[in-house]
Amino acid sequence: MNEPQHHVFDGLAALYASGALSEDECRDFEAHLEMCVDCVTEVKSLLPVTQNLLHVALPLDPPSQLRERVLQQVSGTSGSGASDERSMTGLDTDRGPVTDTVVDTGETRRPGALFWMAASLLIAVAGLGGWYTADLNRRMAGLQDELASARLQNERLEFEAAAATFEAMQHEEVFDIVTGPNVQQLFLTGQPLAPRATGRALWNDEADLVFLAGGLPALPVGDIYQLWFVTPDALISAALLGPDSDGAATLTLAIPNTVVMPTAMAITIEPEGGVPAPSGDVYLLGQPTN
Amino acid sequence: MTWWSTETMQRMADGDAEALASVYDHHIRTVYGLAMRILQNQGDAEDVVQEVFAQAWSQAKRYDGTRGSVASWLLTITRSRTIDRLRSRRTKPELNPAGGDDAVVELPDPAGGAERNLLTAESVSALRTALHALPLLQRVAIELAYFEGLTQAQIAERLEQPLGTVKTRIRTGLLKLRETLTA
Repeated sequence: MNEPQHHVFDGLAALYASGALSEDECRDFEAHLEMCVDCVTEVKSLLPVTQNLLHVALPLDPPSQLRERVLQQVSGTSGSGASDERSMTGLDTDRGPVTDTVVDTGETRRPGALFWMAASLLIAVAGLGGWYTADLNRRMAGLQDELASARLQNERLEFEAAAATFEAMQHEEVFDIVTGPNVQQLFLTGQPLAPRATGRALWNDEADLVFLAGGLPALPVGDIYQLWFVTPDALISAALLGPDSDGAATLTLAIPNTVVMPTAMAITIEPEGGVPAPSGDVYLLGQPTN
Repeated sequence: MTWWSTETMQRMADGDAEALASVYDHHIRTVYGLAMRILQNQGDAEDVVQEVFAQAWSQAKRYDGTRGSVASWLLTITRSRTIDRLRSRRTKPELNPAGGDDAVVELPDPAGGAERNLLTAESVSALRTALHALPLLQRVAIELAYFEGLTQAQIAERLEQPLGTVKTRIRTGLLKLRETLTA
């Protein structure tokens, strides 16, 4: 508690994170955030929840004609090259006004934007770059409580350091493999159930393998992708993949002793936890070229 | 965020309609699912989908993969557009700002790296289950705030509950959901 009036804002962090504060309440609370480490900490801890709530709705198949309608309307506005000033008039004619929302006018952000600005200040993971720093500096300038300011700064640096270390460890492992001597690779192509999916396996003489996949369809609840080595004698499970929300996945693994590379590889969809032998549809397949 | 999404978004920013089609094909089910969940109306949801992809097309250049996934970016736009539509239904212009602010997509996705660590099929599934496992009034209060853009006062009025009770329900519910993600 870093200011005498904290009790006025007690319990508002959750309302702020979920968007349940009015404009005035939001503005007051954001001013309070600049001076209250406790509220900063609580909001920060709740942001992953509210962010993930975006993904909670079950995916649904839209009417088939919607695709053509959307793409036709948008492509009709493409003109020659895209830009931030790209015309949206083709969309405005009969589908509601959007021009007032898509062009960055540089106007002062309304408190809803401040919500996300504060969110970025608080989450402080993975280095949000210059925007983040600028915003932080702007906020810091107004702080009256120097102790709180110092604590916020330290907290930010700790998060950034931790995030950088985490990413560096991941990147280093992949980097070591793909830049090592005698690296070979195998490309996997999307099968009819996932025509846009792609995959690539790279391995070195030390039996370290990096697997990269992209464009994988979202997994139904309870399913997982399973990567296989398709050897002449058997199909050997390599790993389970839970792609991110963009359908991408990266993993490193050790090639089993029983596998002699290059050999074919495949990805199937299987029940969560994986299976000893493939039972589901094939989404990616790659075979070595001789 | 990934080589696929980054490359595709760059092509979309360059005006490549095929990239737009690719993004549409990849994310339409989640975008439409969120729009339908909030709006409960197919026609409105379709209109929102159109607005979302129009806005994504227009603002693709501003997408920064280091700040969040394409899915989160699109869903943030979707939430904003759907809440805008709900507000227009309610014709009450003075509502809470966190839901439907137009400028939100100009800003970095606050999830950023955290999302890369937390957002998996398993965590979303767990969160979905946990949300439905919440006591009814906790869940409803959270959904009214987050998915419909209602303020605490409006939620209290809608649920005929004291303001303090609404505040407590939202906070308690979110803390339970947080436990799910950190478990």
